[in-house]
Amino acid sequence: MKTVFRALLTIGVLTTLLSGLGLAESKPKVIRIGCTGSNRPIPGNTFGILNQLGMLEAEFKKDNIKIEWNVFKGAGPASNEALANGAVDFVTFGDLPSIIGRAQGKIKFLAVHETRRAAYTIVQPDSKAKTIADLKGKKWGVSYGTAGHLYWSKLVDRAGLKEKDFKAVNFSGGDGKAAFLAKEIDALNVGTDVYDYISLGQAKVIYGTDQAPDLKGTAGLVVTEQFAKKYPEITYRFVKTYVRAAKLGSDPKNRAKTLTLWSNTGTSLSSLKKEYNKVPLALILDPVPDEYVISHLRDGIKFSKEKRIIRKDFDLNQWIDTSYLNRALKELKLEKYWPASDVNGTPTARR
Amino acid sequence: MKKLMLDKASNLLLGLIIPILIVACMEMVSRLELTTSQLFVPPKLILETLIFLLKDGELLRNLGISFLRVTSGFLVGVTGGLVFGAAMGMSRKFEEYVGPLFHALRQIPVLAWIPLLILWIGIGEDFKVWFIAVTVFYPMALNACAGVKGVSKSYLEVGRVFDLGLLKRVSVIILPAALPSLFTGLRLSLSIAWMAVVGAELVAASEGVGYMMYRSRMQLQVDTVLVCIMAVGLTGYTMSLALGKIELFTLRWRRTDS
Repeated sequence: MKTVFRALLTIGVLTTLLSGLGLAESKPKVIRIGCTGSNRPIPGNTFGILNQLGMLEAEFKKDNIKIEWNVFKGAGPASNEALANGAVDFVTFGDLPSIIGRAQGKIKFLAVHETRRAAYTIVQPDSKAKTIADLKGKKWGVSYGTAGHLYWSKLVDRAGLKEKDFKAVNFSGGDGKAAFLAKEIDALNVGTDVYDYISLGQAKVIYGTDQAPDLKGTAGLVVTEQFAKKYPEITYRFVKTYVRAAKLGSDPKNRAKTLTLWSNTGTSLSSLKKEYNKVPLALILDPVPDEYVISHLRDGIKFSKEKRIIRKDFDLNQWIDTSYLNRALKELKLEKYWPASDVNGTPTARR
Repeated sequence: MKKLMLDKASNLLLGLIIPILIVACMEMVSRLELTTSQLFVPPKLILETLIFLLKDGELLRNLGISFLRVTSGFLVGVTGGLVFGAAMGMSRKFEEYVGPLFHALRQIPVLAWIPLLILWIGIGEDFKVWFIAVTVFYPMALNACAGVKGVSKSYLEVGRVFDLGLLKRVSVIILPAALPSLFTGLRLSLSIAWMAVVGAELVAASEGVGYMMYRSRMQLQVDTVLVCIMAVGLTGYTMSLALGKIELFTLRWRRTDS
């Protein structure tokens, strides 16, 4: 009897101690971040500012929380795999990978990472192709599962053609560029680095978001529902630091410094200057999901379901959670800093 | 005869028990939501995807393309392996000259050949066929060499007694006697050829079942990946069965002999 009583007492004490430890454990040891890089392991946009200025490290230093950056050459698909394996907590990636990620798993869309992302279709400099239809039967480098894939899919659809009409060769990272320069493929979809190809006489552009602005992409910041539920305050502080970085990049006074930071990703400064001369950085880095972003994402979900890229539909309102963002904007007094764009992308002042 | 058929049926049923149990477990895990992993796919979705891809024609079209590549690469590779291996088995001098390099190159992982082949040949159809050929060359050469070396000395003695020329000795004595080893090489090469074609299509392709798998992986379409794996497995298994039947027919003398 005594032995039983002692055993029960020991179990009770141990359980209390352990659960006490659990209650005290309200912070993670490490915050794991996933993002896209190309030639170098440095992300672009707001994450590029956060990464290179060490803002998250500074924010969480006093809590002894380590920041782990995972910059994936495999872009959105690699981030989705990392999310599926439970290897990352926060991720930024393009519209299509974030839609795929949400359709398959439990992630929250916290804020916008980039809007009005440009895309271009380039062909060999001596190519006779002038339109998308001219590329029928030709080899076209595509990165499936990325934002570029959604651009390509919509482009093909708009031209009244099918994906099967082309020999779409799947590439990830810089492999597409290598194949294009080796003249192994006839066409490739690229982003802001298009000017590097043109200035070196390596390609010519036959179509892009300059002609079709509605094909411009959007990228978002997401967090796993599990992390947000377990560490809501850490999630809020992450978003607050993120908003501070977005404000830094959006400020016209910091334009030169921001573009210089982004040139460390491997895209030349001259290319970045040419691209971002077209749109103010404040519009690109605006973290608030406005009508422009929401309609783009809604359209992306519908298109992806029609093309069977995703199997399940989902409610956009259940996905986007701006509670952390709104709280951060209020605390930082930035509620009216960024203009709200309408469905067509025309900015208007926030009320 | 009836007993034989009953035995075959019961063997087939026994073989189906574990796959059925696996599917039942997957269905249960899915219905009870025991995992939140995006990588877990319920069997029902796999079946729906299979039906869709069959109706769409995409699965059969891509499988057909991979099948043609496997066949081309397999024929090139096993022919080269057979000739090379038989030559090594028949001529000690030849083996002394080429053997060390052959065995050294054999140790290189086949995937390591991909960058070199792409640089030399590009990413077109030739690359895929040659990659498969290189991959199946080694097992075929090894088995051909072992088969030729294993030909009974008494058979070779008969050839010398009848003063048969080289061609006659090879076609009437050596090759038939080496057939069991050659068929072992062929079966091994066939399964390796399917692995190679999927590997080649993962790297740089615009069609084929390996390309389908890679594209589906990028879109987290685990259901399509699983359908492709099953399709490759089934096709490879069917080809292996067919090869087995050919072997049984070709080597029927061995059964009557024993």
